[in-house]
Amino acid sequence: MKSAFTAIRGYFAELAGAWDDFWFNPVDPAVLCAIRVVTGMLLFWTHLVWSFDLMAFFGPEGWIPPEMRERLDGPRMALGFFDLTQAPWAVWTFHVLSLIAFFLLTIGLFSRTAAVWSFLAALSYVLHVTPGAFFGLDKINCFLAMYVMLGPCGARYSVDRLLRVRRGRVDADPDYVDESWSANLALRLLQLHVCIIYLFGGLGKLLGRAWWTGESTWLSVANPEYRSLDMTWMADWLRLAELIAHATVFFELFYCCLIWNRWARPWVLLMAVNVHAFIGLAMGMPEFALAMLAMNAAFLPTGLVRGVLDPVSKRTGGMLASKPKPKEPKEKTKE
Amino acid sequence: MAKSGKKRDHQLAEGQGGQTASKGRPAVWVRILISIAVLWHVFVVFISPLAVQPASILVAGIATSPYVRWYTDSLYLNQGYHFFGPDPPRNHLVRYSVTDQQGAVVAEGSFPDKAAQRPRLFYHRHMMLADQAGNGPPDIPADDWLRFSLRAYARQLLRTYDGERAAIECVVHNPLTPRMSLQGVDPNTPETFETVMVVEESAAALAEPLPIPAPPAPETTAESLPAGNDL
Repeated sequence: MKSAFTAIRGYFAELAGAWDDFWFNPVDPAVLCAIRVVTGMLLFWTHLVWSFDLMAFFGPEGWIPPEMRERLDGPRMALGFFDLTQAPWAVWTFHVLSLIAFFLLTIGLFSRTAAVWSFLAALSYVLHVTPGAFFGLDKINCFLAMYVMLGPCGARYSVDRLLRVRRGRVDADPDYVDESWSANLALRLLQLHVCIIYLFGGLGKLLGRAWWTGESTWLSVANPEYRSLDMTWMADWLRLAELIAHATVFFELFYCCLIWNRWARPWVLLMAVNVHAFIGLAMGMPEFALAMLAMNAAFLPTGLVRGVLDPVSKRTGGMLASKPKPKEPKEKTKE
Repeated sequence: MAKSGKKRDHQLAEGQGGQTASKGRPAVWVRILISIAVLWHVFVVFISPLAVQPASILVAGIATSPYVRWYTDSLYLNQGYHFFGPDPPRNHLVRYSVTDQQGAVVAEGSFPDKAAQRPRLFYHRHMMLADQAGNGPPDIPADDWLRFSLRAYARQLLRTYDGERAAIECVVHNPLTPRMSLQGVDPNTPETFETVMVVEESAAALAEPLPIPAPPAPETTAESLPAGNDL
């Protein structure tokens, strides 16, 4: 009886230890910082595009008029900036400030503050156009911004770091960046969220007929509105189209299991690159594809990210943070 | 390759069932609080897509209760993730014609339109406007909401072009079959378009607010997620 009790206690102690390790083990924030850069770029571009007709989408009248908003916001328990005011000057001021925040997030200046503002701003935009003009990109943008702000997203690949190095507050050696438990927490949440997205992406497809019959690939490439690359040659290769449909469903359904296995992980990530490259290039959604790949990047090993980005960061940092050259004596010029 | 910045500061302690050293980690009470928050967050992230119809009354009831929605709605977590599911979509297009007091056409076009709306993401926003026109609150019939949305679009066009009348036609664009594609049929041939609804709006109506469609009889079953988020 005593040994059974010890075994049960041991199990729960191990479970608590594993939980603690999974969520709170301090990690190098390199992966989170790399995701921050991509998130900032995506947010900046996504919202810059609204500028082409900002008031038509976010103004007091427009495609989504107040009567429609009133009815849509009724059952919703959320509040965005555009629920407070839609005066043109306020909308444009908010828009410009948000673009500045997205830009600061990209370059990593006032990173944490910019991340919080970026998340709140992205939420405001998407709440106003849901339903109306939203799509998957907006969802993923919001998730990326939400998780990026949880960790030290400006610890690397940022102007913040350059400034700290310049002021002598941190070591210039990129090997000496503090590990962080909140970076791990943010990455773990990203990892679990992307697993849930793919799982329900796959389960949702199983509710239809076309993903079972394999016609879905053809229906996607033959859709003139989405198409950005002519893939209708698949009409002659229908078995290939069916294989792609089955592979997509398999990938989405089993991603949440296979990605945690270190031997399967590189292949799963490679498959993710293929799936999203197809969506980005052939279906005209490069931003959405990049956003999904940014979520997948939460599974990349730190060494790989640093191996790719550290040299770029060093070169850029060297150019930006180099001390000003000593002034040379002025040449005498003829008056 | 980069070396480790700091030594790994946790090790499985022998005989302690894998308890870890807490160096570099927050205090125990902070970890407990964060763990509770994490469990809550992952729970709502999971239950939201699970509640997309068809769903059990239990799950739909939990996901749409105010105790969950204060969190999912405000953080935009009330999502379904059924990208291109259950089946890939057939897209809608909105064709419009705006005329002045003399009946002359002042604007004519359609959205989405790759030539008129650039860059591609801006075009995509217009594609969503056309596709989500019928995507309203769950208690309003889709056709009623579609008419309401098309009238809203017509009013926007009337204001933009200072027109007197706007005629809107919502069409669905069917993709070609593989056989038709091999035969060289144009994917934009008129036979591929089906009219869904036609709406007309006049400038005189702009002075009045757009009447909101009323829900039919109250439903007794659990609500679905906020409309539009199961895409």
